[in-house]
Amino acid sequence: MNITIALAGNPNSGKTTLFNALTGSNQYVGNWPGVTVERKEARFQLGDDEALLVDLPGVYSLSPYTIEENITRHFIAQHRPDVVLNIVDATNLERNLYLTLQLMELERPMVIALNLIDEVEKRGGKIDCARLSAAMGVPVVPISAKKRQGFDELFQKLHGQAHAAVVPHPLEQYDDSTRRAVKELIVAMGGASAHSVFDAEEHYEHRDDRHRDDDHDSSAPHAHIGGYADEGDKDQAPPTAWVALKLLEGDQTIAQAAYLTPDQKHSIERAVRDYEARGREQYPGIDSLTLLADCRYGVIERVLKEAKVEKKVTSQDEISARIDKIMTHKYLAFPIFLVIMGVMFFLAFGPVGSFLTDGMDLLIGEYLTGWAGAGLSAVSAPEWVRSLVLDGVIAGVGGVLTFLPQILIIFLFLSVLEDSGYMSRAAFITDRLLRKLGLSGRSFIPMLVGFGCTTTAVMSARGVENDRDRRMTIMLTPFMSCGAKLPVYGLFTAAFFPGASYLVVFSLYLLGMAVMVVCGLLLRKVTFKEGDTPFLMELPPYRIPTVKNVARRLWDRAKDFLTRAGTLIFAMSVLIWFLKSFSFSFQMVSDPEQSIFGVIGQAVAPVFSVMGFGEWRKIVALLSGLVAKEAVVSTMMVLYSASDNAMLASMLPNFFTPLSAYSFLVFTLLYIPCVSAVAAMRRELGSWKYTLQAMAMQLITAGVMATLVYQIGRLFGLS
Amino acid sequence: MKDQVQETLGLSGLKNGESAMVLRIGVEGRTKRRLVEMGLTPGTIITISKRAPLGDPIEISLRGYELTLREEDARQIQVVRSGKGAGRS
Repeated sequence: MNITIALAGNPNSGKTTLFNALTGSNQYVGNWPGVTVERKEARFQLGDDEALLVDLPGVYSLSPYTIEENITRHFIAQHRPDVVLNIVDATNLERNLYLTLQLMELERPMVIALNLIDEVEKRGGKIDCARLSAAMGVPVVPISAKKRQGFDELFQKLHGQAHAAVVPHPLEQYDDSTRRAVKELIVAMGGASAHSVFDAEEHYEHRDDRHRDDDHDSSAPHAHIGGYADEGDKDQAPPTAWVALKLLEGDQTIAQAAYLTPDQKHSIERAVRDYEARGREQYPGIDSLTLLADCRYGVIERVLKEAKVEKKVTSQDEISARIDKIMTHKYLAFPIFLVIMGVMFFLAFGPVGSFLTDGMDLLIGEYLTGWAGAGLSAVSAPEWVRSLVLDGVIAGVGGVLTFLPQILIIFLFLSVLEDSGYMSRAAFITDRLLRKLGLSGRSFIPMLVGFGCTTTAVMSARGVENDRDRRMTIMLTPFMSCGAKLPVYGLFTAAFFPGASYLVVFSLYLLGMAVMVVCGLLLRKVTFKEGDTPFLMELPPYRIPTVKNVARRLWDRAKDFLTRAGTLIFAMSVLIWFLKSFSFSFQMVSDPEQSIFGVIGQAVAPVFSVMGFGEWRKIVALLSGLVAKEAVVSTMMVLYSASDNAMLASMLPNFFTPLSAYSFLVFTLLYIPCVSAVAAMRRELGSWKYTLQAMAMQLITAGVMATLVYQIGRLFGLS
Repeated sequence: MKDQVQETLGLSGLKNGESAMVLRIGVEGRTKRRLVEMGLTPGTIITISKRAPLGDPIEISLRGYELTLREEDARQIQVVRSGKGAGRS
């Protein structure tokens, strides 16, 4: 038999560690259809069954506000996995069980994996798993995802539950008033077996006569409750009692998805009002949403008592508190943060990173190019093949590969920071700084990494939990001036602003940040205007990162990057090579002026003259910069026939004025990032639509800012 | 709760280290939903652990874990100061 297991749990509960430990390396990673949230699955043998484990996004509850929560509840409610594996953090049982109750409400067989039980015991705490299991009505298996302990029993229980016939409903434990309200709502919807409020065909057959018959067919098409787009597999009807609970909570998504007659809506409203009236006898002014949350937490408190859970505030919490006293200290927090970031940048972009990058460069630029060149000569390959391999593929993909050491160093650092718990503290102390943009502290580190390398920054934005914030962070980080643009700045400041080069470069960094702020505010007004979810973040205790987890993440990132280098970056490099080396009549040309880029450059030159650099060679240099920003300099060298940087710098004043040079730098700062960053954006945004939107925004911003600089400069008599 | 009349205040009005009992959440919609789901239901005892270096967000301790929230949301949570042991924990 094929069985589907859904893995669900809170963020920070060890869900990813468990998924990796259970499945090893045979994971399939993709996106949930239509959304940008990562979907991981893996197959393994579970007894005599073929099991498919689906990793659901980490969530705190099943409300309808975030994409992550919608995916989780949609998958369980309408795709009905055979068993739900709920991982629970034993050190934070009370809050974790809130999700557990909500998962149980979805009426699927469940197994609770009680993770970090060893840590509870180490702290002198105790949890009686047998009693907890009896109190919850769900098998509870103590495990350690990190040490891979308890897996045998977990597999056994999963197998048993996947074939279980009886699923206890948590409703039995809810208070009288809540049960009464749910009963009334079920009656209002037409009874417990009447899944028909979600049955699309029933709805259309009977929409006029206000009565539904009971010929409900469970394979009929059902209304979709949101989440991700469907891939043609049929949605099943969500459990009626769950729908009742959601309606009681005032869940608008469910209320709109259900086909309800005006009469039914009326009865439902009355039941909810009665529920609130009963609750207000104890808590004046309370609403149904809070009442239901209170009811669930009430059940949890009772369960914890029955399971004789003893939680002790012990050394571990004290150690965390003591570390935090320094890490989030009023005056020390920012210096410490800057030192940590400084060390990371120093290692990635300083001597160590440069050494590794130069090594890669030597390997690819010298040896590989040399061997390939010799090999191609030996087989007397035609000139275009030679150019394609050497100038297109090796220069393009190879150039991108030289980033790999830097990317890995940064991710090594970020993984350690994430797993140790410091990442949440960094978000905690920097949150205030990004709030005006509607972003949270979570976006701060990706933006900072953007000063080093846009590709890495975009990849690191995956740590931003909220989907909306993540997309915004990815679209904005390219404005942070990346390291590869420095050679361009260096060339132009040497040629035009020799005494003030630092000031000019500094002004560009500031301008990039200012543009980021303005675009952020605009994006929030135009694209991401949907309401705020409040910034509520858990501060997990500090933990020592495990080598295995960090290595795993590094490997995933490296694989991800190399896959992209071999596919999308390869394709884009070849395309740019083609445009640079061929004419519109598909003839290979040696004069760049006749190439497709050259012709395009000449055609669009008038547009760029308002920015002060309406000459085809400058535009071709910018177009080549799409492969890598350093290529702006090397292309100019070729086009202006300069033999080295110094010669080019001495020639540039013939082609630029100081003002048009600065305008050119502004454009270089802001326009579309390199192919590898675009490929990373495509990967992390999950759609070409957003990627193209971001590229259009960057191109337009660059054009507008360069025009402003040039025209305002001219108004002030600069030239 | 004790006999004396106790002052109701916003959670953000508490000092570091002070404990209080949640009375009600003063906002509606998704902010409220998020707050109650994270365990800030009436009767819950919370303790202010610390504030970020810039004064905001605020870290509170409740139900055995640490949660950070922004001042603007914390202000909407009405609480009453409590000594240890009052209400449910």
